[in-house]
Amino acid sequence: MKPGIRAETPLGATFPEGARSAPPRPPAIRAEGLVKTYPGVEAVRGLDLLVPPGELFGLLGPNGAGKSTTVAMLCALTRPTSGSLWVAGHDVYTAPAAVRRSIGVVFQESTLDGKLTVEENLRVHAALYGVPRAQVRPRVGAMLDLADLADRRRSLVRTLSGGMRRRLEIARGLLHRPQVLFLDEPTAGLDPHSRVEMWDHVHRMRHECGATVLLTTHHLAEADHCDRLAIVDRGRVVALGSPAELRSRVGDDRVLLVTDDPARAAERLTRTLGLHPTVLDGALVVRAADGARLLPELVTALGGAVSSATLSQPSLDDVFLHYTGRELRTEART
Amino acid sequence: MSTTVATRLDTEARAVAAVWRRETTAFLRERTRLVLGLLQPLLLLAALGVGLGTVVPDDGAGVGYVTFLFPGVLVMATQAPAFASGASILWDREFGFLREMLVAPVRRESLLLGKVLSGTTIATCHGAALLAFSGVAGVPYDPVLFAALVAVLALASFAMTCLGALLAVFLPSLQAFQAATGLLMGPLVFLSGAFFPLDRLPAWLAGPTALNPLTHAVDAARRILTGYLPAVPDSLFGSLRVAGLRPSLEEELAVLGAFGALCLLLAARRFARPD
Repeated sequence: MKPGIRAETPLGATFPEGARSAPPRPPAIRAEGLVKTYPGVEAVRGLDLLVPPGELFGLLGPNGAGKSTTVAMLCALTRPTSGSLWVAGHDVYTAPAAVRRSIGVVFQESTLDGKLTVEENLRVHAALYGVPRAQVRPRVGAMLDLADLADRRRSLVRTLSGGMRRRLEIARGLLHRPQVLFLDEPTAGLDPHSRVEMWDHVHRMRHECGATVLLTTHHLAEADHCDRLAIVDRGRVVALGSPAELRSRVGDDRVLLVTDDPARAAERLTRTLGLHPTVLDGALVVRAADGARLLPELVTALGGAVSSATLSQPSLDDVFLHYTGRELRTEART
Repeated sequence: MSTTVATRLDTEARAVAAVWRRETTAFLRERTRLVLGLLQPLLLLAALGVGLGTVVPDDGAGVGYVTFLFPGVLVMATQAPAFASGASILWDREFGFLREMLVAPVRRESLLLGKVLSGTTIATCHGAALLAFSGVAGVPYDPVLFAALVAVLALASFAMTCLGALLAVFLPSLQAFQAATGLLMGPLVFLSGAFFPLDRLPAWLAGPTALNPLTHAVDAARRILTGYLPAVPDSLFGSLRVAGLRPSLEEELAVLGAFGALCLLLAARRFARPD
């Protein structure tokens, strides 16, 4: 496309390199002043969100922060009390069916039919979502391969492990090629091994299908998988940014260096890099915004006198505490 | 325009079929459910049919109480599975699958229709399976008779499945549903003419029996059956009268269909209401 044509786009807008080839896609999610009240409960109290297409976006917050209610509104299952909400460019008030066609949902509790086989569950879904008849078989096959469940296709779902079920649910959520996939607490109830697997699966699925993913979690470790995070507390977004940004807003990284002579090393770092390390229990502690980048410089400046180095970043626990004044409750796993 | 309407209808029809297939697949997989469902009506046929048969006079034509009882037991056999279909809506809510259906881009009416049609199918199968025991009740193995009886059973199943669906969408929990159907099932069966002729009931009971859809199902099945029997004792096979009039077979079948359709309509309106 030539520069002259760019100015002729409908809104007269110019698009950055790389975005030119495809028409601009609407934001995957746009929520403005979203409110949901139930009798006596204000579940969501003025939530704003803007998620561009293709992002892996996380809603992080304790149980009861309004995450599941938000997901229910995003799926057009629950009508917002007030506020505006568009999903994949469709208004949830006026075009709920269009919203539902553009989304895939994996709910917190399993919504598979245990009495049907793996393949039958996928086929029911394909029919409910109007997947073209000729494409049902190849897509079901492809999803089974992607979910590593091809050899279990004829197994009853109730015989699958928790991790397999979750993989199947994610595969099912993507079967009709949604633009946006919602994962509500996707690792709830999974053992650590299955959790790692689930994340591999999410990243692989996302790579294959190119969908925007919005997930909710109250696990900080999982929030790190996201491109961007919104910290939600009491029905509002209290902080927004990449996991690294949110951390850096809270405090610096700490680099801990063990050397033969901490005092001399400290003096050397002050002279060469202008840093002011402190000595703690015989180790050097350097505070910096981006510890990972600084670490090699520190080691070089000390000329190989470093016997061990530890980098610690502020945890999202610290982040949550910082923004809400409360610690994230760590729930007992079920 | 007409193509978009056709596409939308096709989408909804596929959803109805998907729900129907899901339920019937699970039913075929659990054959013990069918066997257990048949045991109660068979026990009734044996215990009541033989036991009461000794008290109820036989007119000598070989058509006794067991034969009288048989159509009633057929209709009764469809009732529990028909209500179980309503309960499955609440089970689906409990186990989450309901959300998978509700979030799909199809009308909720279609989902409910799929449920009701699968419930009707399964309940009809329960009743039809009992036809295998026709010989015990002195009922001839006649394919035309069986086809007619299955048609009546299908309409009775439809009516009861829709009633079950109506209760399921209005009641808050599975426990409430079970309490309600437990309460309903007795009167519905006992006042249907399944066990005793209704023509000698006191006037105050005539009203409730006429309003009971099962009354019309039992009477329809029984009058079809009598056409295939040599001679029937009038003391047992007295005909049903509603407000002094004898309803036609068509009218009885229409009552069943209309009752089911009304329940389905009310249930669908409630079910489609957004939260």
